[in-house]
Amino acid sequence: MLRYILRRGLNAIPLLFLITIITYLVINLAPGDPVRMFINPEAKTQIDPEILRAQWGLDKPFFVRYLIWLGNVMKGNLGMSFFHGRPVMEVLWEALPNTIILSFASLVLSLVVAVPIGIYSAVKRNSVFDYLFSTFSFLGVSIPGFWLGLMCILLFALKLQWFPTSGMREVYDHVDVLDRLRHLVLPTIVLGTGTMAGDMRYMRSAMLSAITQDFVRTARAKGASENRVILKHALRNALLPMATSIGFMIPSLFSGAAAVEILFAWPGLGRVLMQANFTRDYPIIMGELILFSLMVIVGSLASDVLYAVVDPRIKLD
Amino acid sequence: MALQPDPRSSSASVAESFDHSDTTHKRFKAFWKKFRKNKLAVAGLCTLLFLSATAILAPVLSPYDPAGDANDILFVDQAPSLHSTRQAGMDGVERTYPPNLFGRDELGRDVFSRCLHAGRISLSIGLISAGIAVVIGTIVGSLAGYFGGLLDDLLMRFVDAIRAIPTFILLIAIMSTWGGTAVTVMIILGLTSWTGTSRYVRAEFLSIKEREYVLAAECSGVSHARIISRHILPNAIGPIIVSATMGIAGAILSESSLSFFGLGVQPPTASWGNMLMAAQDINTMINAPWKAIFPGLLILVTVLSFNFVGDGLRDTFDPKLKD
Amino acid sequence: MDTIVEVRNLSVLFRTEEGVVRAVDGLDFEIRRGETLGIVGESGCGKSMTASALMGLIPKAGEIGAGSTILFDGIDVVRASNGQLRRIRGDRAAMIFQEPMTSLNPVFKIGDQIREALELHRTMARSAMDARVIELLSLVGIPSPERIAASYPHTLSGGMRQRVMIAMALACDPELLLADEPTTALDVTIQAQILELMKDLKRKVNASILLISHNMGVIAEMCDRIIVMYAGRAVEEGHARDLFADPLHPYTEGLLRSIPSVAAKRERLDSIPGMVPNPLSMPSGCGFAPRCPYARPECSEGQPGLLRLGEGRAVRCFLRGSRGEERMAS
Repeated sequence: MLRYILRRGLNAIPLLFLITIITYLVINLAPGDPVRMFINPEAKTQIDPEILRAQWGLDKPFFVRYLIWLGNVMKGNLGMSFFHGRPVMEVLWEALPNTIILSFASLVLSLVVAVPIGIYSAVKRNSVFDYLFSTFSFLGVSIPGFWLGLMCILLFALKLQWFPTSGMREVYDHVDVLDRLRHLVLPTIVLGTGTMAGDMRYMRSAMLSAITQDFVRTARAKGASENRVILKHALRNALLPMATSIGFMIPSLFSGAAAVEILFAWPGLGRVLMQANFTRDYPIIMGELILFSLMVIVGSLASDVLYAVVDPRIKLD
Repeated sequence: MALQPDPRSSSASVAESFDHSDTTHKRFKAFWKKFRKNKLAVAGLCTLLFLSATAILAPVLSPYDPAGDANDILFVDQAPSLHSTRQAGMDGVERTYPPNLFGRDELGRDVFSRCLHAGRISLSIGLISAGIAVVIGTIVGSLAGYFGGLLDDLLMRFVDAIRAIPTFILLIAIMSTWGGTAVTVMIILGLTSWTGTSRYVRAEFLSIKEREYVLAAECSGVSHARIISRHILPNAIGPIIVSATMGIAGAILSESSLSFFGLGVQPPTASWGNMLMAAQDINTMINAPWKAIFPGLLILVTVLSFNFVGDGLRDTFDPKLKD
Repeated sequence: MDTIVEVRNLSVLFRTEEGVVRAVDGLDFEIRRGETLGIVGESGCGKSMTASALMGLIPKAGEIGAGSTILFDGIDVVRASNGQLRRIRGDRAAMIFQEPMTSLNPVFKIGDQIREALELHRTMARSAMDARVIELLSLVGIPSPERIAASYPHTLSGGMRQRVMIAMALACDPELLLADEPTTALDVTIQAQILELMKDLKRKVNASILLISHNMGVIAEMCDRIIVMYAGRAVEEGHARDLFADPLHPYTEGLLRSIPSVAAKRERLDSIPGMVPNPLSMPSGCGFAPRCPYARPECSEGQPGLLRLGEGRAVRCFLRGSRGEERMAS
């Protein structure tokens, strides 16, 4: 298993390099002085350009600048944030757990709802239930996430006043779990609904595919009850494609998380990115691109490992 | 109707001398018959035709000027109504004001008229960026799938790299350095969303490439370009069209997200997304919720329709893919 | 009782957009205790559907025709509850299928899957069940049964997997074993091995067997009595020796003639011309008439009934009736 993880990890390294190239190109290819990427024109205390020039090689040709930047990144130096006046790494590191909490909660919510519904839809194929949830799935993937968020805030936070409209907490002097949870509910529901819709369809088709397999017929011929056939024999096989699909869900989960964070003023990476956009805080923007990609790759790796664990057919070395 | 190959022509053109013109017509009719059975898809298609018509005819259908006029401050945040009103304007002159079906916004502008005009922007951005994405995706996918080997490896790595960056994050980053106008939004959306299409196309090419009629064409010495355009692409067209339809849906969602957060189409040009920007203010939401509801509803209905149509197309092209 | 299975007027119908398909049409037969009955016929003749019907496992889209009776040791399978059927399946009647490669669940170990058959129908201690699993694997000729029991299906070859299926079927000492094309999907050499195994087991195990195949050779090796099916109906029935020595129905004749023989030097293989009729557009009259070398005009006008000729023989053909022998000669 360790060798499997290592192999997958090594595979990801060229990918990360490509991503750094894309990141650097996207930000630095725009016309303008590269210096502006690193010097905040509005900072009260101006950093000596010479120091920056030395550290980031700002007068050198494009490719060399990229390599120097890459070298710094690999050492963990993502530069200084204009807006925050602190190392980018520090700012991002603080925001990271909040994004993880939101994303993870939404992922769990999504799966907890989608898996049973997907199973039932497959078993009761073409029933009223199936059509109902199929329609719900369509709605779920068609609804703009931010608009769903707005409507939820309108209904649940403003009209009904069940939940707060924004932020992560209102109690600051100690950790109040209830307070935190109240703040987590709406963002999680909004983010989870988007992924839930796709998951339901996917689980349904995975189950349908499993139910029509020959080994299900064998199980029935052995005298197994329908429950046993569905929940033990078919489901266990349907979970395999679901495990891989988690890896694919992660990029869109993070995309959605960014939008939800901005809407609900949730202090995660997405919100930081948005602020960085308005303040033209390029070091943060570049750092975010790299960090998010890294998270996606790690998530993908975790999903691969999960799949290898549940499917005995995967060769691990 | 030349169904018999000309025995005098060289073998290279044998594969091509079949006249497809009337069979194409027949295939289209069979296709349409099958598609028609999916009621949701047909409903979606009708909705889209209707919305496109309203978008094209927006100037004609709008009861008000979407940019507003001087009298608007009298009607800030007015609720939707089905009746005309007679009222004196800022200049004291009495006028008849047509019904505000969707109400008015914080600047007194008619939301309905703005929605119509915004539809033009949102729909065209959706169509064009999806178009760009499909073209790029098809080219990349076909090259990778057809030639295989090192080219395939490199291209797919590139695709993986782009896919690893969450799209919205990438879009925010790009917009911060490049963004601004409707045109840049179109181009950038197109440049970031082609990876899905490329994978479908590549998969189709990989499978079709091994089929006998392609091998036969290769043996006859038909050039690569001809093989791709004449033999493979027509069969791969199914996933491409489905991909394009879903792509439009996705592009509309992306554009509205970007515009909502101030990164896409900038005011005063209206898109459904940026019309919702004002709704971020809590006071607005409490006092004038229609500003938030209607543009969003339009986005939902449009995207839903594209999804129904795309799903219907997918079923019609290959029902095996469904269940 | 001497008979373990009694089937009367079995019909299995599928209602499609284009009409009603009778996959099995008015089938009558019995299986006696300890005997091996074979059903032979081309693809689509309804033989597999018959076996599925016996187990109560026809697809959801199908229905058992009104007036059909299936009695398993006196129990009415058609009207039995799901609970009753489940108690029979895997315990008193077991089935093995055509596709060993896909008939085992890929995510569970072999031992666990065989043990499940025991768990469902017996109360035994875990250790006793495990011992029985090993015993069964040895019975079907699997080497290193402990290692195999701890392995997953994808590590086994087709022949091995089919042996496992047989072991699983025998777990609860069934009274009836249904084998639906058990060797069709296997390589020829493995086919021979599995057939040997089945003959061996037939001697050791005290079960009745219903063997289904399109391969006359396989049927000949194993069966005491044979039913020949065509387009959903039985067209001939008899003891194996009688049937092979003297086939009565033209279809049976054709099937036997089409077995390639190494001894006979021939340029072309004999085959039955034509194709099995489309179940949606069955010919009026005898279903085989369009392909029959002896067909007469009257064959297309009425349906021949199944004529029982004594000594276990039966045939469905106008030309083989009591006066048929004279007609044939002329």
